[in-house]
Amino acid sequence: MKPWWAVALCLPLSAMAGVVVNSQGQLEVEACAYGRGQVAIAGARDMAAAELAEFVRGAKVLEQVSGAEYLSEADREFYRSERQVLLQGLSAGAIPLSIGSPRIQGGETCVPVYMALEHASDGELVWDDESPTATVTVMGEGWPARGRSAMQNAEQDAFARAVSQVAGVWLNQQRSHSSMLAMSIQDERESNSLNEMVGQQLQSRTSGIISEWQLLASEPLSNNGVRVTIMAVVDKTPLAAGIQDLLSSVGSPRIALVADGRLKEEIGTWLTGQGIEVSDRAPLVLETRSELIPHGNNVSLHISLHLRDYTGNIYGRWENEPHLMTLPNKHGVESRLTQAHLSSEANLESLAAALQSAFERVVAQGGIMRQLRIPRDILSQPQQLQGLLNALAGVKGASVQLGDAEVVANMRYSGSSSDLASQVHHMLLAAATGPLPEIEIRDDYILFYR
Amino acid sequence: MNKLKSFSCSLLAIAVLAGCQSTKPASQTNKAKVSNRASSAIVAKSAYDFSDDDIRMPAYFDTQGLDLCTFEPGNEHPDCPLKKPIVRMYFDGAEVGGEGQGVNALRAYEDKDLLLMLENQFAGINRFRIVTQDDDLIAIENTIASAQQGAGYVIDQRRKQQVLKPDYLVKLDSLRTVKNEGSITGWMDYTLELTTAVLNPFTREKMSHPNLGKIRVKSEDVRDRSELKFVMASNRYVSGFRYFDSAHVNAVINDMASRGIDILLTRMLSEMPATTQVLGIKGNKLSLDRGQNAGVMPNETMIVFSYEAGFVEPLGVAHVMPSKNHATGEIVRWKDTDIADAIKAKAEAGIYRPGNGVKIFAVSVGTPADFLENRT
Repeated sequence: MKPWWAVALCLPLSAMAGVVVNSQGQLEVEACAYGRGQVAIAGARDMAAAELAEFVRGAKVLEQVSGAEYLSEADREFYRSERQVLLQGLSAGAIPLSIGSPRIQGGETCVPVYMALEHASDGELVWDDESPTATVTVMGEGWPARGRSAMQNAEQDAFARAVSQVAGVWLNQQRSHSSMLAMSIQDERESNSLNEMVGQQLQSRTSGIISEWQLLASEPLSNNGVRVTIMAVVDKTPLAAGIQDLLSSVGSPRIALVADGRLKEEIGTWLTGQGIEVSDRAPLVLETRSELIPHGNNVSLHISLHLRDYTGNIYGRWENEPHLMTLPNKHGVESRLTQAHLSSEANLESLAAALQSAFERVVAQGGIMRQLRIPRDILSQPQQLQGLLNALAGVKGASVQLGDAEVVANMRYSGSSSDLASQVHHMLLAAATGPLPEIEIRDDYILFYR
Repeated sequence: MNKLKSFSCSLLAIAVLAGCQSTKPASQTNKAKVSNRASSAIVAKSAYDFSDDDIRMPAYFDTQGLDLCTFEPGNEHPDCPLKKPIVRMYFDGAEVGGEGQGVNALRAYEDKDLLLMLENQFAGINRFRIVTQDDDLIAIENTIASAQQGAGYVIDQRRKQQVLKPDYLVKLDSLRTVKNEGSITGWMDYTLELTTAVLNPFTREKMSHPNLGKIRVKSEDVRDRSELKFVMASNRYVSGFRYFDSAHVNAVINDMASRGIDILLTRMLSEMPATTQVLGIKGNKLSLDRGQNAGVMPNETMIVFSYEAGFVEPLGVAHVMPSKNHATGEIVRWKDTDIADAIKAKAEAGIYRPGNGVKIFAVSVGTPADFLENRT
């Protein structure tokens, strides 16, 4: 009597595999595929699955298979009644098959594949249950101010927190699941501050986003304040639309491009194609540099970009990988290398992501830096200017330098320069010594009075 | 009688003591002459020429199985025997100092092409994965590929298929010397000495293995002495070998380096033999679990041995042919031992598959017999 594998070696592959029942009551079949490693294992598994399907499709009675004594009555009954389901499951790849340890046989790799009958019966499907709303419980604090009661302010604060919380979840989800936003903020602190910023920006629109809410508790605070706990139902659709509006406005600010020659041409064309307006003077500056690196008779090109504002804050940077392209050092090589690096899809994608992330960082930090220049004699109390500016809605981190003739204030503002100009003008009407001249805007970020 | 007994006991005791005292100084070493003869290549005998006594274990066999292997060259498990070190190769044609007849021509020596030849030859024996230094070729190819496929495509492909990162550097140090003999009719005598270093560029450690020793090639190995003869008159060159002309000298040196590299390859193949595991033996036929991927070469002579509990027993000698990822062979001669006979009997009855803690391996003896003829 020759061993079974001696016989098997003489037979063609398709006839090699035989379905048996193993001691665990599973259907087992071994198949071999040419090659080594995962590719061969996957190939062998597919062949085994096909072999199993062939077996189930054939009218062979399970009891005749070797090892049938290991089958329970329930398994036999299941096999008799559910063969069609098994067959569909196998061909759709929905039935879990377990794989034994592979063994090498000549140039082929063989794997045993097992199908458990009882497991095949409970095909579990996990549905992603996506509710249109999200319910959150948040606390808010408020004090009587701006003509509203402490309770109203506390509720508004709670709504803003509820929106911010859901927006944060939504943004995180977008970051992990979607390339639509091409978000690439890695730093958790910045990510949180972006969430907070989005929450603040959406504050004025909470009424459309919070579909219903319920007061759970309230307690008094010192200075006539009140702390409330509410349960709010946040409608996801208007929230997502609001965030996207906000982010798309972030994604297309005006920038100034500092570059030379071919680089300026390539980057400028690309920026315009991305819907980013390029201007000679703008609050954000995209500075580019390129440098040829010699390697013997050949050269590569290092390109680096960074986005900064007029005060020197850098929001993001991008660098190419020079080693990916070296060319013989001949006339015009720099131009050819520039064109090569900026025609790579992956480079342009990473550049777009770096810029998007830089723009988001600008928003996360409170908006674009703006400068306000006021002749000192206009102001009655220049020392109070910082406090006044910081109290303006949307203004963050105002700092004031008092010069002899002029007061210069730098601040971040999340809206447009003209909005800021109008707010500042109204504020100064009350703080000025006399009648104010018209406020003017230069280069989209300098607000000044003549 | 008692007296006689005690006398003979004393005699015995004296004899024993005398025996103890008569130990000679241990002799474990011999004096040997340091040779400065030219090195020669050593290749394996064909399996068909082996006698029973020749079937012994060669050095450096490796009984690591393929259990840990992923079979993906770019992502191989560190303990998998198929994981080959990635190396960058350097050829250092050291400066030739001093002045003298023919020295200037020897100094003007271009070693870049020799390096590329070295890379090609080493890549063929599949002991290392080699990162080429042929930058000029790559740059030209970039130009052509950019013109044909688009530069963006070329860059994106380059990013996907990253350049290999070397684990080690293999450096050939060479020493070139020249002397001339004779007066009116003289001849040049060149010598090239090659040593190899394998070093870890990160830790700067020079590795002890593989140790290829020193290879010495003399000009008489590659040229007849008459070809290097020249005639001088009044201290001026008249005719014969143009020892002052770098092109002519380079031709000789290149041949010498080429011979040196061939010898180096044969030493490398002995130093890093290919070991494969035997999956089954049917009659005299062997099925081996790895082939070209583990550096098995065509017409390889391999010693088949069983491995159990740290002990090895040679079973026979086989002639092996590789395929891409496995190899087949034929045991040409079984060793005349009981173990070999038992396995031979089982293999004649069907397919013998090693089991129960016994593993059978096959290890290459060195460079295949026809390697130098067909590959160099």
